[in-house]
Amino acid sequence: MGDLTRQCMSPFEALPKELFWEILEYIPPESVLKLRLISRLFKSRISTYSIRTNYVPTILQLHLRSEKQDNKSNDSAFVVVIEISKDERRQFEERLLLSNPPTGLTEKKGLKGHTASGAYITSFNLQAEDKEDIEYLRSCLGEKIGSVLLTNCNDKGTLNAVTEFVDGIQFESLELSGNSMSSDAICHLFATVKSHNVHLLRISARQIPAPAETLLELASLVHSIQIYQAAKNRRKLHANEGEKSILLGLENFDWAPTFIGMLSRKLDTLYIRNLPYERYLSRESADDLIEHLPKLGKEIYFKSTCKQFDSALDCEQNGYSIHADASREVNSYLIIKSSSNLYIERVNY
Amino acid sequence: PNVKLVTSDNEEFVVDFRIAKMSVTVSRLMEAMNMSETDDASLLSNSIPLPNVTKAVMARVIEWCEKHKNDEPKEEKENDKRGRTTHVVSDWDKEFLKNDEFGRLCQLMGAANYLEIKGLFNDISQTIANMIHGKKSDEIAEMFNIHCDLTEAEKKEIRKKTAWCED
Repeated sequence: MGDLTRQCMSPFEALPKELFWEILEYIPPESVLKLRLISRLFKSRISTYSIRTNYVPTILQLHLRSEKQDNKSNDSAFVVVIEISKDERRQFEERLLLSNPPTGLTEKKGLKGHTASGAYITSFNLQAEDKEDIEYLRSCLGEKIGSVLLTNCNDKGTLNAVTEFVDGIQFESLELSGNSMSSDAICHLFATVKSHNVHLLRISARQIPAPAETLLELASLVHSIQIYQAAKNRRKLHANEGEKSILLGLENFDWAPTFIGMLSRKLDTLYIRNLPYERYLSRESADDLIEHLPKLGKEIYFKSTCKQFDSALDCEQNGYSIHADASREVNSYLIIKSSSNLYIERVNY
Repeated sequence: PNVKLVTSDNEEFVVDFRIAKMSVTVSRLMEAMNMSETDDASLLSNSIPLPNVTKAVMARVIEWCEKHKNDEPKEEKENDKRGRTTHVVSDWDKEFLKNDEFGRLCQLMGAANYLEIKGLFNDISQTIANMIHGKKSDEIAEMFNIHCDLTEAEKKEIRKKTAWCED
């Protein structure tokens, strides 16, 4: 800036931009926005302020939740919830507010603030077709995310938008949650796991297509799978429903060969929490697992809901420890693991 | 012992060694010129040139330093829960800075930055931020005598883009 130009300016405008930026540090982002309306010089300085550092946000979790009411409607609305460390709130808000956001972007009311763990969350309403909004938010996220959570993302439109959203982002943990997952969702899951090199996969659902085949195939791709069985009616189980043997929609199935097959592949940690159907794993299946898993000759950690043992079981076999809770206990589990404690630390329930 | 400081308009200020040391810039220069507190000859034979500070501004800087020369070292800045930087400006500092018209305040900020006097710099930054916070854009423009060269259409576009974050 020339001396003559500086002389014609007010003292505030004539401040070197580094000092101007120092003052902005003391002002909340909303007030910084107001300064953009003062003059072209301020507008330009604030735009450069937002990109002055090579700030790369550390997103703890990205949650994409479809708002589609039913499968028939064409509505492809979804909500994006971004969770970030509270220490980065200021920088992340600046990045969101000051990097020239598209005009249509709307914040999701009521989904903003701090979580119980102290992280900061902010959220937006999006339509799968709003390429500009998706691109903008994507550009604010950086290249690495702790975990990605997809809820009720079943239709092709939303799944394509999800692919665009996470394109080029690294994440090791992926969680899928929904009542009933479509075959499109499963195809998308395989593609996402492969392209992002996902290590930990968490599935919370009532049913998925071809459960045994799907799980076997996934076991070739990831190190850890956690399955959380959802109930048909979340509030109350129907009479005798708890006695049924169901996992991910498959009824009266012998799961032992599938689990043994899964843990023979890349997978080394398998956790199944099936509280709606605590008897889904038959005693015969449990005995098969106890007999065969210790023969795999690799480090594994297997833990599953199992309510089939009259009394508790604790033994060692082939360098593997085996534990089963007595069925009278609440949340009974069967645990088979290599005697090394390595995997206990890796599984975070 | 005293240290001689020379401003851009060739005015010489003789200040106490402790006051001179409050400026990181002056401290570095004294070190480079082998000036030490225990060596009176080195202090008498040298003066520190400060080409970026005028006589009037230097007088204000020294007044601030005189008041704060016995302060305990402290964490000057903190972050509030939204990550905004905050700094507590004492009543004496508020009164002190109130006496400067805004143009002088900006010059003082420039001098505090050049001389690296952290406490004074933070006091001024927080004071100017307080003047801005909570005001509408036209009120800020009027307060700082800034001519707005944005068209109404440009303003409308800026507002539209950030409408989602406004209450």
